Amino acid sequence: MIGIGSASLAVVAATAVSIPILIHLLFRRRKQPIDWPSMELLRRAVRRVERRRRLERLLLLLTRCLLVTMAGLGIAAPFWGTPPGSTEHQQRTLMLLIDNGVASSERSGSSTILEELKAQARAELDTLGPGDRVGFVPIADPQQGTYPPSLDIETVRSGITAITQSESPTNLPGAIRALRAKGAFSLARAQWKILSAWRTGSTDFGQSLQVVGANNAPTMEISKPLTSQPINFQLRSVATKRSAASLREREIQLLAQVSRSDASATEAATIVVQITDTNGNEASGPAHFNPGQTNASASILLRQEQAIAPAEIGIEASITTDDQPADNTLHTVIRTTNEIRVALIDRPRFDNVSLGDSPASVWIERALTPGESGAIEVESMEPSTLSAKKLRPFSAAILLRPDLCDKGGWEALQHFVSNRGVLIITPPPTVNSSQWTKHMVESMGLDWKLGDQPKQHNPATTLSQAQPQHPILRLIWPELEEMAPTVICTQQLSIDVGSVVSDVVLRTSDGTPFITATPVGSGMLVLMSITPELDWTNLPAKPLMVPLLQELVRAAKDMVSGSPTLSVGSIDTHTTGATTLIEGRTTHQNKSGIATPIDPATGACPPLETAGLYEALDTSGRLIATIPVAVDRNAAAIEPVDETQLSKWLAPLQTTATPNTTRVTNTPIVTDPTTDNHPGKQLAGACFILAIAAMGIETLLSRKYARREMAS
Amino acid sequence: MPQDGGINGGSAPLRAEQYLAPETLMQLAPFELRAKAVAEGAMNGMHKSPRQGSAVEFSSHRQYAAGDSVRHLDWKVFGRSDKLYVKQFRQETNLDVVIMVDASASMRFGTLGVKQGWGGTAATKATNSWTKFDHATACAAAIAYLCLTQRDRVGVGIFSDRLHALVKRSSARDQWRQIVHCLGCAPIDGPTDFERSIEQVLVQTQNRALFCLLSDFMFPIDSLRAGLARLKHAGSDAILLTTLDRQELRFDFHESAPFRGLEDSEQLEVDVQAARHAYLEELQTHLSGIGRAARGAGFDQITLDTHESVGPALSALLAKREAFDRRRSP
Repeated sequence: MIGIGSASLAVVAATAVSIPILIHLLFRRRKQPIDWPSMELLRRAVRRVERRRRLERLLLLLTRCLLVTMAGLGIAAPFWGTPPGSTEHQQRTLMLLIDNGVASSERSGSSTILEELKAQARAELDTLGPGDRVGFVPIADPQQGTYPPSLDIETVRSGITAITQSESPTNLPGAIRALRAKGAFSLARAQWKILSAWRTGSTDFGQSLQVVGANNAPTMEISKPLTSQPINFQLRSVATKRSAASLREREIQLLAQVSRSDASATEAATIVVQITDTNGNEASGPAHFNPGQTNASASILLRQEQAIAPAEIGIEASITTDDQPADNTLHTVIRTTNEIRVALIDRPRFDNVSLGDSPASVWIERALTPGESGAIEVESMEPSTLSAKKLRPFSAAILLRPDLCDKGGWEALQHFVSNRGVLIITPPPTVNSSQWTKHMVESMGLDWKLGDQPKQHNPATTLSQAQPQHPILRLIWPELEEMAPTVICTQQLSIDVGSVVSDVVLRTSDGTPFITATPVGSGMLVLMSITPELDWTNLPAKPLMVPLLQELVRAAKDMVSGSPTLSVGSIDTHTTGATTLIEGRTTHQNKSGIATPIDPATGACPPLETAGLYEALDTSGRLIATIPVAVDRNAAAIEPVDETQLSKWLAPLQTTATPNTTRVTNTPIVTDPTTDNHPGKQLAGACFILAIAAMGIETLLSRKYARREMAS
Repeated sequence: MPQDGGINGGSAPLRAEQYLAPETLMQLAPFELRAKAVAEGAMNGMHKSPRQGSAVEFSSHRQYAAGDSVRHLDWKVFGRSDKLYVKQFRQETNLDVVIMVDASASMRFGTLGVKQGWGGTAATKATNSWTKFDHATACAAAIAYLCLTQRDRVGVGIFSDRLHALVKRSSARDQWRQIVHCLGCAPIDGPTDFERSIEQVLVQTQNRALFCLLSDFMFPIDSLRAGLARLKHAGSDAILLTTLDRQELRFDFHESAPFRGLEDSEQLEVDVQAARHAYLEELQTHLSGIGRAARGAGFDQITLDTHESVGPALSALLAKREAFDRRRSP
């Protein structure tokens, strides 16, 4: 609380304080204005002085700014483009496309090409500083593995190390498509590098990169193609020999096809094919290569401990290790069934004829059942009594008198074929073709054009030595070259398949189709241009007759009834009704057992990533089919590519080849931090020189201006 | 309208002798104020006239023409060459001198103390110092005295933004006193309008004259050039006597101070140290402009420092003009 005494004291204090202020104000020197006559001159002079002073001050300011800026830049220059803690580096963004496709599983010394590519990628990471960004894409799995540019180089390094060998084909177009979809092409100042060995399997010259939008891609640097010649043996196929496995047999005859690369074809070689089935039985057989021979086969007898049950047997075949192990193993499924029942549709004959006058049905029956313990059972059927119900128990039907089929008969046949049946048709020996071909073409929905009359060959023609390798006869391809030219054809039905040349199974030396085959619904239709009688051809009396008829029935039956072998990367199981695909359960190795969902309506599934045997199950867990999945033999090829062709293919990417090969050098391209060639350091010197010059100019100007002021 | 005679305003009568220092008289005594151009005086005098007449100074011969008076025939030439020639004589006349004194406010500036025995002007009374107007008055008085002693007719005009007063030209005995009275009583104020003032004085001056212009000429050179052009067009001669104070000429200040215009009220804070050099350059430019304008019209120009005596400067001017006259007419 302030009392009266305090208030008066405050007044006195304030007065005391104000005294010196008042003295200062009272005695403040006031300048009297000077009356001046020539004010205009003075005004102009003052304006000039002010103008000059402004200019001088500006000049001094600029000089001082330059001095400070140059000094600052000189100090900072060595650290330009380098984050704190780093001494030598320029910021950049690096995108690495690493080929982990099946071709990169090629062996290289004690390692693989993929491991070398990963090491090369890690070496690229060593050139980066903490401020840099890096991302990578495994080319074989672009959808799953795209790793966007990141500052965390160590995480990226771990990610690169963790890239696994894919059994899928190298998919550069897919990677380009995925990167474009993710907007990676718009990355500013990004440096792109494709690390690949560029083997035959790594490229897909049939697919234009321009089509997938690669022409908008930034310029990419590619590793140099590997030019070394590999030694590679490839297991092409494994299948039962001649006839399907039967319940009555305890042995399965297998034929394994093996090929080898040109580099190893100069010398004779023997490759042992090892077979293991899902019942635990093992067998092996050699495939002998003569010098210059690139294809060979091995016959293997796979014995079963017990009689074969009517089921599917999974087979894993493998050969000895070479430069490319990915194509050394093959999975397939052998379907053991009861005897194949074949309906022989012909008019019954009650007369005994000599061998030379035997009708076609006799020749065919003999060909299908050459021994007593054959796997094929033949039953005769009257053409006029054909019905779908009657045909249902049969796997195949051979129609020898199509001219005798009425409309209902053709409908029954069409139903039979559409439901996984195999229908083989031969022309009637004496009847005009126009009476039945029209019905056949209409009911089966064919595009073929058939002649009205049999075409007479005078002189007789033979089958061509070079036959089209139709898959239905793949087991007798090696024999065809020798056996086909012995077959003479004197007359035949003219068949025009149009542009679908793949429908031709056998042909004569003049190119006329001899046997044609085409899928109809879920089944298959085979049309022979001849009646297997001696009036038409000597085929019934030739050695080709038996294997030809056997394969036409058996292979066609396999093709229409079983699931085809899929390639790794497939997205369609070709199996309807199944909801789950489980890997490896039927194999003795029992791999991962990972369940993959399947669309039951279409059979579509996510990309199959590994080779092996898969089980397709329905919702109740019932086995629908066993599906073999194999590595794509073309994607696994490791022959060197033509560099010109590769450059042409990669042209849309505006690529530039690096001097490095994909062989890792283990000498990472790292800038030596001790070197003194950083442009910032050179710039620092210039900055300091400029700063010193600015300081000198500033001193001179200041002195000059001060001197003039003093002088004036 | 300019008023003839003094504008004393009823103050005490001036003593004319106090406006002309004896030493000035002594310094000017040997000289004559000569007209550069021909004069058109009414009486006989010492200056060349444009008219030919019955004077004593022979001018030239020309061939006789019908109608010429036979009195002017040169018989000696006729006797030698048997040709008739007529002798011509140049008439000499007196000179009209008009002294124009600037009485604008800028003339009220002075930094020298009042001189001993000076009669005083309105500026002296206002500033108690020897102003530019005082100096111009002293100079005008001396010139007027000199001219009157040469029997020339002298008049005085006082001007600033217009012609304020004009003492008609005369060579009468008390003309000098009237002039001095007019100068001593003239008010010193207002801006300068030189061109207008010249126009007004030319209206009052019919024939050719010598104009002595006493001013600081602190107005735009273009205005000066226009005024001089009018004088030139009228056929008159002129002498420009630029009257400046020494402080104006040297700008010798040591402390920054506000400057206030005498002809306007604008005040300007000036760093005298910094502005001195620029001011002197501007002044030099201005003086050069005055000189160029004068020379362009064919007139003489000198600069008078108020801190110096009138005599030497005027003596130099008169000597220069006499020399010119001698060169022209040997």
